[in-house]
Amino acid sequence: MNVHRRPFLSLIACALLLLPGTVVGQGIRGDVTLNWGWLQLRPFVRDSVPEDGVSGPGLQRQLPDGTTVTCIDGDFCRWYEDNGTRQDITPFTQDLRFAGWTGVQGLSFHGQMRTRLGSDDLWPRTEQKFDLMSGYLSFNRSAYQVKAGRMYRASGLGYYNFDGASAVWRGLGWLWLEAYGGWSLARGVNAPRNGDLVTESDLLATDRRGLLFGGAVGFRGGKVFSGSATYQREIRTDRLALYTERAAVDLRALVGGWAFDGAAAYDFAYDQVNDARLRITTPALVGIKFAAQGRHYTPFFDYWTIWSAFSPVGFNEGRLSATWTSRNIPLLVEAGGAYREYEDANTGPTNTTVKNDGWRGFGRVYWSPDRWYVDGRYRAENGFGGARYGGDLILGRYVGKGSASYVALRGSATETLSEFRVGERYVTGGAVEGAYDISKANLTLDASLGFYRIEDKNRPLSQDWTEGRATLGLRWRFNSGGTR
Amino acid sequence: MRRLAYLGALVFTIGAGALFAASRGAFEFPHEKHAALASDGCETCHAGIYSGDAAQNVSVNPALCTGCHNGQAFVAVDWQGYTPRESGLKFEHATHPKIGCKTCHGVPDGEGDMAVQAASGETCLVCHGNGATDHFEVGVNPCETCHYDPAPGHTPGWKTQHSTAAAAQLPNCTSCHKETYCVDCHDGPVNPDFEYHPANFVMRHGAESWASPMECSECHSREVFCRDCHSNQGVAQDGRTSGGYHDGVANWLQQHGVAARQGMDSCVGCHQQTECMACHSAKSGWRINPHGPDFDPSRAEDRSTQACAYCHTGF
Repeated sequence: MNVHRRPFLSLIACALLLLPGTVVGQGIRGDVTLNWGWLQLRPFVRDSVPEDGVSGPGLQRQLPDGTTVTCIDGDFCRWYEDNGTRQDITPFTQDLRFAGWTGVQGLSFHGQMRTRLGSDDLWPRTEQKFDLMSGYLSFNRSAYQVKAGRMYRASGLGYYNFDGASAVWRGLGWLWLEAYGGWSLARGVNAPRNGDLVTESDLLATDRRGLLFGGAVGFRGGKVFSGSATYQREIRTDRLALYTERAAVDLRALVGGWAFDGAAAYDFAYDQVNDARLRITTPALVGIKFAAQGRHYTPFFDYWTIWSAFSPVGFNEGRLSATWTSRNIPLLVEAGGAYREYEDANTGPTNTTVKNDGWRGFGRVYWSPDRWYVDGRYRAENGFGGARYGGDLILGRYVGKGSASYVALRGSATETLSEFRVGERYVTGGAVEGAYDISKANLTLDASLGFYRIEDKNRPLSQDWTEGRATLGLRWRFNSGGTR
Repeated sequence: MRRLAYLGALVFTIGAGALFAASRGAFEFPHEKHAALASDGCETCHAGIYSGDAAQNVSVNPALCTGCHNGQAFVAVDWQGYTPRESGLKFEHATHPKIGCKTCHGVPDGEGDMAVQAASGETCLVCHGNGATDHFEVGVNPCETCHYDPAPGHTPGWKTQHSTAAAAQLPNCTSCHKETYCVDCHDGPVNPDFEYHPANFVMRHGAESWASPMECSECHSREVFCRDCHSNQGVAQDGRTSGGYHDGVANWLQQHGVAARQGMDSCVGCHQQTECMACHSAKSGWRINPHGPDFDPSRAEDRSTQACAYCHTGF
């Protein structure tokens, strides 16, 4: 952060110079959240036997217990099993977030930071001990807003955060314009692209930070239409190459309970539409709300990687869902499904056994008589690379006012087939969960404890395959008043 | 050209849909034409406004209309009474301070007491907007205080389907939600509820990652999050390409190209670029061309030669 301190200070100084003299309420509010988790996992281990020790010919053979192995003549037969020594993983995070009002109308400061402890190297990102997720100054008036610092930006291109500044002008009411720029951060990491986190995970990680620039225009046509268009590019700090160059359009019309949503994101380097959606949601028709969606999806990859040059193909998907909410009893029923078909991969043998389609189905029933509730959820996901079928059944009771405090029992069962591997797996288990909100003390506590049994179909259990899961959380809110 | 056609179709469909829906719009009562009837103020017709009488609270008794519009004195009307719109908004006049009808219902620059219109949600936000008062902070005060569930515009499946609405209407989102509210899901310390990712998702996420019902990489770095964990759990074995893992498909080596092009998102969750380059680089190894028929090297090269240089000389 030291490298970029001076530009930030300059921005802050400029903002302070432009401040009006009006002084209104000062204050700060925020929360502290502690989360501790415990989960047990069994790592995969690779095993092998000499090729001449496995009967039968060919590349793929079976061991006496049914395990499929890949054999190379004169070499070894190899396979993977997740029967490694059970690991206990205990990640612990502490979050502090706050928003403060300075006493100068419109000027506020915001921050969110996280520390991580425990389970180094076993749980992702636990080696990132301190994480500044956002921290910025905001000067917000009815016609414009200026922000400087580390901030998130959500758009049709997704969720990015960066170190820099943004300015929004909305003086006309129906139109808004935004410009933003700064040093980009790797998505989902809150760290530079060339930082240790990325370089330790990818052997070809890039060696330069990125500069991010973007602009957006949005409009609002009465209460009916709204939309936005965003253009954004990231360039290496030595300006030798781009990391990304993308644009997105998002449109929405909302009339009489009907919602029409359309979106498309475009990648300039590979001339691809990455994610395009058109969705129509109806108002309650015969008591049921319907939603239909058509979607095209092709993954986007940063230009410093080779992945887009491998010509990934997209899929086209149709999705239908229906939701019925009873007006007379506290009952919600939801069901839906989707079917997708992949574009021609233009590779491999003509008689490939890899499917080029997939489907999903899902359903939910939520019934809450009195202060009890029953929540049943099912999901089937069938694709070319993996599948799962199963769901949860929860029986719970709300405690006190509202739904913030509860205690519940969860039963869970899932069948999985994954990663082009032979064999089906069943995961069954249960948990007890609860939360308690102590409003007077601004405290919320939550906890869960569960155990899951894992069984492989047609393969013997050689040891105890039960895995534990637990969470413990605490959130404390503080508030010294303050207004915008 | 094809991209423009897609965009045009998108705009046309949204516009046509909105016009269709708008054509089913509600009847607007011409208040200004009836100004003479409201000598005692709005309560002349809206008798239940302040009493909280649900039967008359917002609506007008149809008998008041047919008293004059009976086909003799004035043209007959067949109005059956007010049907509440599905705004999703809970509102009771009786529980709000008496701040004058036109404060919320006045037409901007309209003249006279009858220049009124339906109040919009923005009117509420003058007092109740995010940051206005602390007790309306999301999480402290539940959405249900002001909204029926689902809240207006929050269509079914909102938690996984809101991206377009959020991008198109970002100023609306910030009326109720603070930025930190988004972070709870997009970069939260834990799975915020079991609606987005079901419980024990660590044992269930494989199928989803191949199917991409959402873009995982929007929140999770493929390199730092996925690959890091998969390496720790022995799923990703750097440098080993001698088979054994994807043994559910016969002759995996010959067939992996289809799987890779269809599910590149997932491949990256385990495999390093260098593993693929062992066979697909033009510099060494098997020199197998990985580019598809639509690959345009000049477009990619114009923007970055960084990736080209991994496999090709001359950059």
